[in-house]
Amino acid sequence: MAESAPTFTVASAPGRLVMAGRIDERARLAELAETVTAGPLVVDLGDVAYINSLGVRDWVMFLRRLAERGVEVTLERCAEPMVLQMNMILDARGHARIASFVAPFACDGCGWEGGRLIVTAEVLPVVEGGGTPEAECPECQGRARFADFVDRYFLFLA
Amino acid sequence: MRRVIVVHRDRKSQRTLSRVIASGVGPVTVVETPAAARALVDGATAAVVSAEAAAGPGFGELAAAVRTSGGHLLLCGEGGPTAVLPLVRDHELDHVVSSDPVDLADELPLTLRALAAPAGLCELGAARYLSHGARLEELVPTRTHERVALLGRLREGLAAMELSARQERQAALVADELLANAIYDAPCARDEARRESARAADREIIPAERPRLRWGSDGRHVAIEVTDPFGAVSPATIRAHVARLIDRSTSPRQGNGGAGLGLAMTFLATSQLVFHLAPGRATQAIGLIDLRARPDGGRALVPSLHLHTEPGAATSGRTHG
Repeated sequence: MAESAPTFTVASAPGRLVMAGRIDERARLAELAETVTAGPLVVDLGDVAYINSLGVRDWVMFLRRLAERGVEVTLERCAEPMVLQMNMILDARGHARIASFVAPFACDGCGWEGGRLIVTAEVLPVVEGGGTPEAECPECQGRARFADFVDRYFLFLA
Repeated sequence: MRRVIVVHRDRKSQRTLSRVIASGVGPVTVVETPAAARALVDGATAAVVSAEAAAGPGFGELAAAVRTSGGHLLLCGEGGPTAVLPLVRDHELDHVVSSDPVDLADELPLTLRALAAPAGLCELGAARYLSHGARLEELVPTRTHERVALLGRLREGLAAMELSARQERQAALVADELLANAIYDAPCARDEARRESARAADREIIPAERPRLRWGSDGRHVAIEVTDPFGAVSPATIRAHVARLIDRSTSPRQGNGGAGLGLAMTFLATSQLVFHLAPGRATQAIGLIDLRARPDGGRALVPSLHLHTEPGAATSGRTHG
């Protein structure tokens, strides 16, 4: 039978991890933390397709172990499933800095729906000023509107 | 149900609720305060109460009177989870209904009818919440680790429906978490002496303990239904798990068992989460995901919650999640 989402993969380079696929009980992130050497670490989460409750527990343990060892973590391209968990549980962000993340948009003109990459430093002044981020629709180049609740989706940046 | 009372200050909401209830169920009385509603409770009463009124004075007394009458309280889901869920927890509420007028027209009559005749809900299952004729697919795992493969089959079915990536992910999450609860937590909830099995170990699920996964869509909603044959989960247990969303400082549970987050994550992934609880016989959880294009991208400000208990013995639920 088919797999329910791409299996979890992780690619590593000095100071950098790229996680992709499905984070669940098989991802073993807590063990992965032990392999990280000291120094700043960038974690790219752009291709994380799915995370369940056991994956969240593992992810929280991963961040905790890095924090215990004084590793500074920056998260890049946080996929929407990761953002939703960070909004639900403080520990899912932990001590990490968020450089960029994916936010949901929808185009009323052509019906496109999907995620667009947002740079935290650019969107934060907009959201803190009570505004709503906008993006260009990749299909019709029209204006795509943010497709979630602003006060809930950006909670994790506070 | 002998009487239906709406408790709401907002005139437009009063009209919407009255129309939905009067046309779909029967006569309705509208008042503005819990105290005024309390004076009207006479025989089995259903009270549909705004979150604002429920947070104000007199709601506790109304809740007690309605329960004594053998009736039910339904809270309007106005505001986010942090506004609504403390009321659910503190007043032991079993029902949160949508604040969206379009959703209400479907949801409120269905809920009130189920409260008036709660027998047989598990037999109808998700079909009760989809348009007539919607087809449900069914899968039954025979081993614990088959869960992942079943979710693959579900995802293939969802892909054929051409759902958005977000909707597909929400549906898969609902099925994943509910199946995990049914396979690992439900047996322990019935038998407290039974230790939760380590999730890393694959084992056969004996026929009498196999859960059932069903799903289907009517074009408006995707419904994910998971039924276990234990019937051991109590409304209090479900409320406690959903209430974890009130405080973001909550932490995942450690150990070999569940993280204790699954039900809260499931709730947030749905537009409506319904439980049919048949004590000692079955626990049936149904997650509905709204497929219609909406300004919020299909995520409700606070999802609806319905805990229907079929007539039978009392439950003694333990952990779930």
